[in-house]
Amino acid sequence: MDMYVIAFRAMGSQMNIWLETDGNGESILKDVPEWVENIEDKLSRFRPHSELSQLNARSGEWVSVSETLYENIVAAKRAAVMTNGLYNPLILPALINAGYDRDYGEGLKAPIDDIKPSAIPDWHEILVKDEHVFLPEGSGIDVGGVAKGWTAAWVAKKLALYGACLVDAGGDLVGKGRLHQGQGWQVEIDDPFNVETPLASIWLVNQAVVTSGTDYRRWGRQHHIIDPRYGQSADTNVLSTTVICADAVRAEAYAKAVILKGSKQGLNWLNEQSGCAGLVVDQFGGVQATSNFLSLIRQ
Amino acid sequence: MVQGMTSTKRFVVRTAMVTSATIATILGSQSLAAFDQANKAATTEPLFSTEPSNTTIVLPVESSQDAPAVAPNIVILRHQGSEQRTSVSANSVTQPNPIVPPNPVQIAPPQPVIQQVTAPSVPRTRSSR
Repeated sequence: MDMYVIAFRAMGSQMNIWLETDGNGESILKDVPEWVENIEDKLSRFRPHSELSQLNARSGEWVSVSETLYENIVAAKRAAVMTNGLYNPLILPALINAGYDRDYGEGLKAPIDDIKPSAIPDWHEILVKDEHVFLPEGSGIDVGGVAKGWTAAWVAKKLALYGACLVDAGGDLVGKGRLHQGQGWQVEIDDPFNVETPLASIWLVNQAVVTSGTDYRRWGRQHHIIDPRYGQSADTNVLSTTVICADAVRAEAYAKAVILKGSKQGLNWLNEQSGCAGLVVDQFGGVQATSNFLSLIRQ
Repeated sequence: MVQGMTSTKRFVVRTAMVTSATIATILGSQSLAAFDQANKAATTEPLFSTEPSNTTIVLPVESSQDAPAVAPNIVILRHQGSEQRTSVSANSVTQPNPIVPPNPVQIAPPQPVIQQVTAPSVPRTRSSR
């Protein structure tokens, strides 16, 4: 068994993928960047020709879409159900209004003060049927809140045919299978207050771990976590949250919900969701976790 | 309830700002890595498989006589630097370590790089960048 790793950038993030396999790892992994590029080319709101951009341009009518976009929109609706609407993919106008109108790597506009909140449509108005999608008139959908988790899970599922793998899509990770010595994949949890020392290490065995936060993608007083209840960057005491569960999309949705609910209400709520564990770093360096999180920590 | 309480207990109650059905278990340390195995509290039954390890981090819990008698749902792993809540900004003076988002830079070669490695480096989960 040999271990291979591929590193590249996609979806505005660093992608690292590890594969332990008896096969030809280089041959297996060399196609992964193209897989991800094909997905991004459909889902990116920053590409005018992307399928998602085309869909947004045709709000108010039924549009035939690809399986990839359809599954992501279905995943986004599922995330909205799981969070009772705290995750709402119809936040695109609010994101743009806040200044997030281009890839973060290109540098966002100078801080915008006195932003008028955007009205966010009800996510229930997104209709899906037989790979056709209907967006409410004048709305815009952004699947960025679930796309990395969906992509990581999709890639991991394909690579799992060849051996144990770990897909790191910009800090959202999906681990499949156990390494040949029987252990899972070790993942550290970043401490936003101390880049040198992680908060903890956990093991992933057929699980996903997602971290979302307001600590990185921010500009001026804005950040990218939009609160759909108010149509603007969330007012929260949470700096970052990490959620672990079997489903990457679910972990992403829950991470957003915890941020929007705040540390204590968010963790209390997360405790009530079966099969998940989570950790929150608040604005003042405090770290709290669900009680079941302790069982995941290892040195 | 407040009368007769030690300052420690008042601190416990004040920081346990959760719903009546939950309570925070105070661990009493700033670091995750420097605790006594003997003081580890019983947690809920793990939902996930744990890896065999002789170096598992364990976290101390204050004795039950100091902790309110309600099953903990939230565990405090590190105390805040301040109880006052203010907005986060790059120039905030209330944060113990002001966080300045790094300039977005490409942190990997533009072309994909495939390597055969002897052991996986340990990745880190963090906000997307």
